[in-house]
Amino acid sequence: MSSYVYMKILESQPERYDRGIALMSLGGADRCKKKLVHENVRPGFKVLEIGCGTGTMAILAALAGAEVLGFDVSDAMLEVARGKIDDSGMSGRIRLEETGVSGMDKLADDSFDLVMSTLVFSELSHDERVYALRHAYRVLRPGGRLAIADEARPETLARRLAHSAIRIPLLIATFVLTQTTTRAVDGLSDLVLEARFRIESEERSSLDSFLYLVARKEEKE
Amino acid sequence: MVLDWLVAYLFRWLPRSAPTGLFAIGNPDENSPVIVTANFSLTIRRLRRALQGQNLWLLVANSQGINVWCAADGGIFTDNRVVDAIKVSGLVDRVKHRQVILPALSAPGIDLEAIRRETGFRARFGPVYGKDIPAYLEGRKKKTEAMRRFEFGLEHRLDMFVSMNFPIYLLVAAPLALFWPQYFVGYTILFWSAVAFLYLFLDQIPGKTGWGQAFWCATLLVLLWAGMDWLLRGDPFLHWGWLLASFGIFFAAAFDIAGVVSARRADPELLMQRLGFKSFGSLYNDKQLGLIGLDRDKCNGCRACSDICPVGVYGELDQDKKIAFRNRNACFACGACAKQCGQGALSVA
Repeated sequence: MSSYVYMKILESQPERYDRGIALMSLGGADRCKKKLVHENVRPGFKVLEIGCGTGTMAILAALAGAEVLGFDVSDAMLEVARGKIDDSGMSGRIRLEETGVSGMDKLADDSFDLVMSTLVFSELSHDERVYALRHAYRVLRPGGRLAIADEARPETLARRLAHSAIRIPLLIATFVLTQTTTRAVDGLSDLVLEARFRIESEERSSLDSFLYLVARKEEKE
Repeated sequence: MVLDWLVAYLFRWLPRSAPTGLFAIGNPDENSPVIVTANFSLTIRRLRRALQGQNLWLLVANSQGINVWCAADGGIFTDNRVVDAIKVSGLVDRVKHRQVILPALSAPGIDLEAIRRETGFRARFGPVYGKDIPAYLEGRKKKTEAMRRFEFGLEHRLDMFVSMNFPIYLLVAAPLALFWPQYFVGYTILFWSAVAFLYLFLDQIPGKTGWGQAFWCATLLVLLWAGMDWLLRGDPFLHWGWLLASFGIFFAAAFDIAGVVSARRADPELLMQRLGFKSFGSLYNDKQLGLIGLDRDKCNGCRACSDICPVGVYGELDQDKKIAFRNRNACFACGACAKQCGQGALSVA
């Protein structure tokens, strides 16, 4: 397919990403990022963000006193992030790298206090999720935490229907307006367990559609 | 299965993901070639059909369910995605060689050197179409001129005909079916005849832009229709609603017809250029509309540009061993050559 207009629309999509996500989650994504940072980041922490996108959460973590390394597969997203980070005055605390999850193999063992990620695992394919979790475990210091917030499929049929009724129109409107979309992530907690983490908490939002998961790498094995 | 295909086909405008990773086609071994593609479900389906009877590895990278060309040009199917696919799939342990073959249309988004640096694999661009892969492999990875070209011919148009227009059709057909069913059949016939006419005779219809061509078609139809009504019923505006609808349908079907089926510049962009817009948000920038430009001093005659140009802009090297244009006007600014030129000699401006 060769629609020239479609190509151009995709090309400019990162600049509309923040608005798209805010619209689709009805503001929930931002609240969730604040909560995640508030509950898991401590001053002096070394934090790795998987898929930092436009840098919203990296800035929040830096403001909370952490040193952040964020990576993202999209250079256009990082371009937006650089602008936002400069504006926030946090550029001394945040390092950005352009790479997909496979770049995690270059990070040292036991070198982070926290690995965090929002709305990224739903965009990764199954094999990429497994890979990212394996390396998240490796780079965390013993006792370090993994915190993930993402879209999830509700567990009961009734809730799934209620969720779809809200989500589908929202999804179409958001894609038309901003070419941003996310997919629900299924069975994430199983993958987290398989990567040898111990799950500390797993919360779901009112309609079950948002998953907030915190897991820990055990002190000693 | 059929339903799944139908949804994928009729809504090809929307992303649709296929599983990623390394897949065996036939019985490949450690010496078999590796073909890389994006995870748009329709692509995978067609590629698998084209590769039947081959023994090779199919490495599917994550392009968020968007097709190769659009995702590469839109900055989604990039070298980072190929690097991820190679490393995450553990390709290193499956083959002895260090080569992968990329789809030619991924060139606007891919830095070959970055793939080599991060993975040790040498990537090269294969043919545009999956159907040419068997012949390409047989011919020791030499591409014929035809393998480099995107065919904006009848076959491509028929492929686009239903799938590009179905969502547009549905936009009006759905409310009609619900609230004004008496107009549904008429609309359906009018819509698909208009679109079929445009797609079949686009090259014969006068006019430079798709919109211009659609306007002449609509005008012709409306004049004939009104004339018939006048002659037979005494009132040229008897079907005034349908006359208006004809203009609407032709315009909607032709919104990006020039870009989609005949590799010309997109009409909405040309309009903005004519209206004097320098840029429109990030969607449009008049700098991206120009012709391809060559800085002859920088060109080293490597021919990377002519290797991946899908519309045959480039010809042979001239007497100074610099690339020469063969058909510069065919360029529709996909940016593949500018991205692949290692010397920075090419730019769209």
